[in-house]
Amino acid sequence: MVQEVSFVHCADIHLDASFKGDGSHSFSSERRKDLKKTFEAIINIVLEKDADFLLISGDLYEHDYASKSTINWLNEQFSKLGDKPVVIVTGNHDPYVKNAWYRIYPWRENVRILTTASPEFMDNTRNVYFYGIGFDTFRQERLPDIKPPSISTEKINICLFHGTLDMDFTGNPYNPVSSEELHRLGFDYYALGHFHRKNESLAEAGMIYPGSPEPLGFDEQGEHGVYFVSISKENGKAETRYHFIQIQQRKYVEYNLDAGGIQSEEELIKRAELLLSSSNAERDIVKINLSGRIPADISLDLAALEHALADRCFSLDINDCTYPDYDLDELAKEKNITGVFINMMKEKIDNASGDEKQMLEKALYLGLEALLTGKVDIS
Amino acid sequence: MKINRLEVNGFGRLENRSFVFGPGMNVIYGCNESGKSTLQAFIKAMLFGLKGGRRSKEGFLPPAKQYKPWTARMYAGTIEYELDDGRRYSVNRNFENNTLAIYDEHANNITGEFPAGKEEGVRFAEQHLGLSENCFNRTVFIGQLQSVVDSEGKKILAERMTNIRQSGDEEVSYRKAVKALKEAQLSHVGSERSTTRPLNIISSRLEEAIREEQAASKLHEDSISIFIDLDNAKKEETILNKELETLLSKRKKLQDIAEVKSLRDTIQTLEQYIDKLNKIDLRKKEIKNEIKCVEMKMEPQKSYENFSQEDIDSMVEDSARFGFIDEDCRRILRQKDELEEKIKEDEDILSEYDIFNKYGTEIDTVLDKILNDEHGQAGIEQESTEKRNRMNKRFKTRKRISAGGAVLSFLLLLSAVLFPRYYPQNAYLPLLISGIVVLAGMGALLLYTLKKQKLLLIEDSAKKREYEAVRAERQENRRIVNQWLEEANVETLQDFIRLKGLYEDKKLHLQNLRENRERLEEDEEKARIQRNEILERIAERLETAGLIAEPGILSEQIQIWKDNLKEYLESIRLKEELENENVSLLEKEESLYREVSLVCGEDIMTRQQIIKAVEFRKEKLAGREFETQVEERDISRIEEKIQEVNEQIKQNGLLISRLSAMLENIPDDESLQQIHEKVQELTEEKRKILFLGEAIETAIQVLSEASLTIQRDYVPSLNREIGDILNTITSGKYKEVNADDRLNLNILSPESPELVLPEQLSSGTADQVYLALRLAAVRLVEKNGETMPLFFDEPFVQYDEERTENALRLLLDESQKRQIFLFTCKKREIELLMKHKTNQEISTHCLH
Repeated sequence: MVQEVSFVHCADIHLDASFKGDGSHSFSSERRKDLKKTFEAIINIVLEKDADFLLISGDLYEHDYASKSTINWLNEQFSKLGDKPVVIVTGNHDPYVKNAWYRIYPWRENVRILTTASPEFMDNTRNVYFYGIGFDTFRQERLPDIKPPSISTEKINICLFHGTLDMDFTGNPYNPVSSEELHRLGFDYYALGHFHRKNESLAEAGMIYPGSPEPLGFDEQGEHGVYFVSISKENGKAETRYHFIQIQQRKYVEYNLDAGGIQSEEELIKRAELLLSSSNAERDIVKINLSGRIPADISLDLAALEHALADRCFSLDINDCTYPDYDLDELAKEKNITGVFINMMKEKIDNASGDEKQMLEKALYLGLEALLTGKVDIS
Repeated sequence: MKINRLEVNGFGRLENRSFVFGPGMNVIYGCNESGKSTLQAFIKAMLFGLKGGRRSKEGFLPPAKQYKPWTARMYAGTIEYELDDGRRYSVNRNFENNTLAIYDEHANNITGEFPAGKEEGVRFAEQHLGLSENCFNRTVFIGQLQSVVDSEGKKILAERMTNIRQSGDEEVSYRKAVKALKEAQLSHVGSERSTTRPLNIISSRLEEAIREEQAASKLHEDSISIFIDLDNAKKEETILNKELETLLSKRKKLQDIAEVKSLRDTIQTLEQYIDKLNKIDLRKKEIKNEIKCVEMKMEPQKSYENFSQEDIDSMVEDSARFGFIDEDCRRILRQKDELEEKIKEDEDILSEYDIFNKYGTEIDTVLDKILNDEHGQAGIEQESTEKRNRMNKRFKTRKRISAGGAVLSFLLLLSAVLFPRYYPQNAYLPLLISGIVVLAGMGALLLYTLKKQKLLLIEDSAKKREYEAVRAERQENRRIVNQWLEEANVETLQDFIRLKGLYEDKKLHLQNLRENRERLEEDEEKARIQRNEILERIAERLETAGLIAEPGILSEQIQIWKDNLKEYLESIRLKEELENENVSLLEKEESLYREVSLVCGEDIMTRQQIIKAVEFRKEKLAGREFETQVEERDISRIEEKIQEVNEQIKQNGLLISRLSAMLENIPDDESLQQIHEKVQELTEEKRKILFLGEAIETAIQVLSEASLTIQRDYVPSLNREIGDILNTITSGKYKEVNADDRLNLNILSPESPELVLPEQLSSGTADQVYLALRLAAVRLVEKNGETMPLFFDEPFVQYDEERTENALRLLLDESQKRQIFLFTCKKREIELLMKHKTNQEISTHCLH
């Protein structure tokens, strides 16, 4: 007999999260609204696809910030699904702590929260066995001591897991586990959560990270959404089909703009405008990384630049990585303090990395400016 | 390096000019605007090329355009130079198309042997000279030497010298750079000691934001806690309501059981009441019969109906008194007879004393007068005489005193009237008045005394008449008494009086006997009356009862009367008793009905009603049988528990209200995220400031290290070079230069044990020191490298003759070691050079 179920798998929605953006309250507030819109889109997909249930693999909300009104709103969203089960496993941002909303809120009956103490849910109507490995605290350096799953070939077995898979596990506080270990448990599908970029590289083994349906920062560029999954099982053998549905409200987009050799700020603005015209900047969250050598007599006013481009973007961040147009090699040859200073700084820079390297580079140009012009202009 | 030849095809104002230079001193003479600066620029451009590009910010043309000739067809030139090792090179450069060709002394094009950059072009000069363009420019080109006539000039000179010592370059100021960095750090970063700088402000704002975040976070946690408490309270409310429901149900059941029990008890009680009422009815009937019997018994004794127990007592009393009084009557009669006998005896005796009966009281009167006269007559008379004599004597004395006083007073008055001057004037009037008063008083006394004496004389004559009358009466009385003595047959008055005493005693005794007899007679009468009264009362009672009151059978009759009356009274008492019992039973019956009414909770007046009430309850009982027995305290306990649960529900309700209100008051918005974002933003801002601060600090530190390196590696050599040069140009006056801890340049003067600062030197000496510094700097730069030519562009414009002469001497000396180009507009300088030259060759070129 063939059993077949379909469901929507999502994770890491992070409702009520705080946002690091352009520093305005309206930006972060708008982004939190975006998260809710995205979640509404997920509910709509479940209804449109007539999926059997909705899986949320952790980090549904931010425990530290989630307000009662948001939880009320969430419960209302679940109510739209009627009897369709919503199966949730707790994440490191919404762990099953003492005062977790999962624990204290009167959720609708179709909402099933899988915890360490109660990791199972059996949907007898659809003959699906759910098992969850989530978080009881904000950090878990190893998997919780949990009752072993009761896998049966007669049922469709689904594991909801929130944590890190196949990483360097040293000191990883987020349920570190290898894909082999998970695979050995014998589930038909592993609904993973934690990483914010979608990853279907282990889809053959039935393991999918759907990523965050709405990106939360510049390190989450690319497509974001949920997976619609169908599993059919016959004679103990399961076949999984899946496809990704992009639902994000906005994208994080990062541009590199070489400002080298510009002769005026107007020229720079024109170049940036040209860059933005090729994208959907009015909807997206944009970061422009300025690079290149700027003539020493041109002082960049980033605030003015942001102001000039503000109307073209939903949100714009300009990262100034330019440096003054000094001929360092030439100056380094001078047999005076300038040469000695450059050589000393170069040596330090060569031996440094990361933030320190950046700081030393800044020190080099500040020192040079002071030596060559007798003043330091920090705009 | 020596520049042997220049060919200018076209460069600025120079066009098709050729210059061949000597190995030592070369003087390029020309007035202003003759092209001296252009020639210097040409030399630099030939070696390092010209920068192209656009117009600068300040509006200056880029060098490539600046020197483009206006008229010449070519914008190009050639330089031929020779290095210290004797190798010669020729460089052709076309500025128009920015190309060049380098040839060695064998005319080989060796351009390709040198590194080339897109902008910098072929970098042959750097390789041959060992100096960058900047370094070359700053080292070998020496502009107008500063006038050090005034103190400001000396200061600038000192700064330049210090720059050379600290940075190895007179144009680059270590101090200025560090100062600029520190200023930037102060204005854009701040320090731990500062309070108003960006770092302090951002730290303060960040701390405040963190506090706000902690408060908001706590509020968020609190809201969750309150939510939990509220949820628990609501759950508790449900539990309590269920508990209350259970208790109410239990109470209902217990009340049912209790009601059944109550019904049973009531029925039982009512049946008991019915029983009691039946008994009362029975007794009432018995009493009725008993009363009837008593009344029948009383019928024949109806004549006693007006008697009472008091009548019995009165009858007994009367009966007793009757006996006593009868006895008294008999006793009185006996006493009366004895008294009559005694009275008769006394009357017989008194008949013998007839005289006393005859005269009666007269005897007593006469006897009294006689006895009183004998004792009082003589005394009265004596007393009257003594009184009269005493009064007369007193009147006589008074008359004498008053007459004498009156005469004396009169005489004094007379003398006063006649001889007033012999009296003191102030006492005259009082004395006169006193005399009149005394005279009047004496007159009055005399008149009073005479009047009293007259009254006494009248009284004496009346009393004499009274004595005469008394004496006559006395004589009469004595005659009567004598007559009585004869009749009584006694001799003396004393015997007569004694006989009279015996008569009066007997008479008194008889009177007493008679009085006794009268009293007995009165007693007899009283007893008789009482006896009759008693007898009358007894008879009346007996006759009322139909009995006969005869003295002989009186006692018997009385006894019969008493017995009958007692019996009758007993019947009456019995009847009353029965009637009272009947009343009591009626009252009890009423009381029972009242009790029944209370039990039933309605007015019950008849037994029928009670029976109905019983039946009604029995109907209610039908089918309601409970085995469980309920104690009153069970319901009481349940009631207490219900009250307790109700109180808990009330308290819980209050808690729910309070928690709901608290939850309402906690903002349910994005404030927590917003404050967290603010903290992140401020943290990032602070990080940037700290980053900048660290970069500035590092720059200062590395600059300091670089400066120290310069001083360590460069300054000792510089000091030596300067010393050598100074020794030469000051003819041994100054030969030692040192740097102090603050990197100030100090010069050891032979005239003073103290170190002197450059600005303290005389102007001429300062020039020499500065020139020595420049030359020393050049020597250091070219150390182990090419010997650089030096270009002096109008260096001595502000120098006086003597200073110019000294300086030129120094340059002549120097031209023996290196090629020197002196650009000047002063012929005098050429003359001075010629004057002071020894074996040096001086090549002169004229620009015009």
